[in-house]
Amino acid sequence: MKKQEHILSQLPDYLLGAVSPAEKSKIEKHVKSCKACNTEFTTLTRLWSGLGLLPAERPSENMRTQFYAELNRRKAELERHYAPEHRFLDRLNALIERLWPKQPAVQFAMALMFMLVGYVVGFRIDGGPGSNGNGGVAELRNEMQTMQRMVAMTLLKTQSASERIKGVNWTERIDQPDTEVVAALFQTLNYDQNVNVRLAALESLTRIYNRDEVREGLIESLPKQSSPLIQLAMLEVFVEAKDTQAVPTFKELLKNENLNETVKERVTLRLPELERK
Amino acid sequence: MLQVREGDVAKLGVLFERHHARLFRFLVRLTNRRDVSEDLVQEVFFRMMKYGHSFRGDAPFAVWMFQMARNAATDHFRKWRHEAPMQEGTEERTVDEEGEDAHARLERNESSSLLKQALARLPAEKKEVLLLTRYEELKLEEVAAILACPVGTIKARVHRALKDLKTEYEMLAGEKRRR
Repeated sequence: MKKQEHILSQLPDYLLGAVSPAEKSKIEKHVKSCKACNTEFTTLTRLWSGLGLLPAERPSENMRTQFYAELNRRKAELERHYAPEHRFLDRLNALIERLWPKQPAVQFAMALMFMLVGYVVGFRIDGGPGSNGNGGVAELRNEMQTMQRMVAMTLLKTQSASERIKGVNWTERIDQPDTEVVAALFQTLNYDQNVNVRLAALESLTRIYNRDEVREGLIESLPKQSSPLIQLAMLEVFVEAKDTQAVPTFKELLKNENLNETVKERVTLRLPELERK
Repeated sequence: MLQVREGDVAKLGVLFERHHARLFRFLVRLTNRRDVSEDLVQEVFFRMMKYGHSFRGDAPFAVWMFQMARNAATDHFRKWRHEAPMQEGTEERTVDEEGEDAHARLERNESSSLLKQALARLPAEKKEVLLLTRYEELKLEEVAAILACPVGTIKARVHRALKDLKTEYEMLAGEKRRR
């Protein structure tokens, strides 16, 4: 009885082709010699074979027609969904994502700025206590300047060079940068690792060149510059401003044996022009 | 399928042409209903479009397709509880290419007819294991993945389903002899 059960338990493996040739022949040999197993085994094997002979049902042509009609309807629906008016929101999202700063510190500063701007605007519209309406715009402008200064200073301290350039650009939005902003710009001009950031800082400082501390700071900065690009840019700034006070510094620079040849030629060419002024 | 997943809806037509006949054959034997099966085939393909992201591509496409087909059939009969699967011999007749009545041709082979009726009488869970292992040329591991159970359980279910099929077949044969 135990032997019979053992063989019948192997029937699914036998039918599903999951037995080795040796096991298959052993099962078939046993079935021939065991009457009880033989009856069950033969019947189930015949049923299994019979299932394989049943003709397959075929779908009607109507099914295909209905499927393609529905497919076309859904395609049209998708096309409508991705029409230009729907894509506008996607584009707006992408634009905001591109412009929005990646650094958490900058995000925080921006959020703070928007919050304060909203507060001040709301306060003004509401006509809060002590507001007479005339000084409102000036006050709002002051608030904006403070926020812009905060954003610029935060950006200048970030790791990313492109973010620092943005920070330099933000300083240009401030009408009269205070000494702290000017110091930060000089710090960038003198010590930033990226030459593009340094160039941007020089450009920003040139904008307020009329201030004594800026002019003097630039003359002091010249010997600290090792990049020919910056040296040439500074030469142009001084020549353009006709600043003869820079002449001794350039003469000192020419004594430097390691000075780039192009810079040397350019300074030699432009220096008499500056001296004449 | 990967292209359908990427949103290329037009490629769904290619999948349909490749697999609809196989899917229909499975569903019509599972449900005994030609009309319902045609609707379900369509439903399965649109589910592929909707849930394409769930196809990971690390298992054969057929496994995913038959899983969807089972779910679609289950959902259909859960929704339409009053609509029992059609009993044997009541489905629509099909006419083959030569114009001969396919059902009549089948009747010529009495044992085939009885076997078909016996299969139709089996409950869905027994029928599906026989259909997947006998007709779909799937590996046991793939059938196990479709039915979400171990390979050993599949083997045991095939054995039990065949025994039940034998019982149904013998009952039908007895009824026929008494008539």
